[in-house]
Amino acid sequence: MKQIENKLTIYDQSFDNRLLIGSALYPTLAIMTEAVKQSESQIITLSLRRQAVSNSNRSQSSSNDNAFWQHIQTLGLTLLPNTAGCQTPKEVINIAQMSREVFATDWIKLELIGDEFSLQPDTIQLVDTAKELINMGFKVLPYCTDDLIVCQRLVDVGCEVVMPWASPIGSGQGILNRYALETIRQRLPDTTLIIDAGIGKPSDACMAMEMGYDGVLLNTAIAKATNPIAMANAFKHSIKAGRLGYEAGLMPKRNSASPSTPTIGMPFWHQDNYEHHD
Amino acid sequence: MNLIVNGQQVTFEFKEKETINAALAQLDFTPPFSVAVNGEFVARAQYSCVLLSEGDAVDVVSPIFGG
Repeated sequence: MKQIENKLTIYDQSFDNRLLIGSALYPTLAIMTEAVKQSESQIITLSLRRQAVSNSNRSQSSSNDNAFWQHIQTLGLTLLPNTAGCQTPKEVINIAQMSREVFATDWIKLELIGDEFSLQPDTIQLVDTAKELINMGFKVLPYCTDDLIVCQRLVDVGCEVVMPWASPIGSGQGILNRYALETIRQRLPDTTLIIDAGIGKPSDACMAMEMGYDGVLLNTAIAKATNPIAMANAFKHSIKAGRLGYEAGLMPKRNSASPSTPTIGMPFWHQDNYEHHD
Repeated sequence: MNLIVNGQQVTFEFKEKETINAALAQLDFTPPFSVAVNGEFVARAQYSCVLLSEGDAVDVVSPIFGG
């Protein structure tokens, strides 16, 4: 049985808040900033992309004002750069190195996409890629499917955090395979497990936490809500509620009803039966 | 010399091989950024010694939102 910790542990760091939040897809930078603050998340995901090209031979003005980066820095959060969009181990390795240089962190959210349509991770190459990154000194947080063996192998090569999906990225379908996720939790009791991708509503996140997951990483469910700031608040509370429920210990399920109100002392109890016997 | 910078062909004044630093000096990239040449990461400390050749693909990436 995993010892219940009050804090989320990611490698050698501890966090009070168990929501890891994405920085993409918000209507505006200001809304993103407020939503992140409202969530009280301490960890934010971000990425690297090409800057627009402008030089003395071109008339276009530079659009590289980096407003996003300036905003992120003011938030003072722990940064979790991703390798989103990478489809080969070579791309992952190079983006990871570039991320380490730009963001000055060894943390990397490993995304190795195997199918462009479903954004399902390439689990065949994922484990070796994670191993290579770890050998290069990275602290790897791999995004993977809910396949127990893949999760086990990621732990075997040195991943202290494993992040199975609830459902495909951005789908908002919530937890599609509860059995698989519960099995992973049971079989990897000492690994920090974070649900990454597919969360659609606060109750999905709450359910993940009630199952004993250590954290939830989400982006679209907040950013694409009608009111992202209010939704960030909702997720904050749902994740706290789910964790508190897990720590409190859920009652076991039963197949039959069991009255909660005492039956002893009930007036008129089986009166018809007594009359019948008389 | 012509280089492919972030997917676009850019013509530089120098004729012979030049360093990454020399190429960056003619571009207006805003820090922080990181560089890869022909798909391989090049550490910042190497910008003054790695030489670029005609047709090399140079990627310059910076922070952006992500999930």
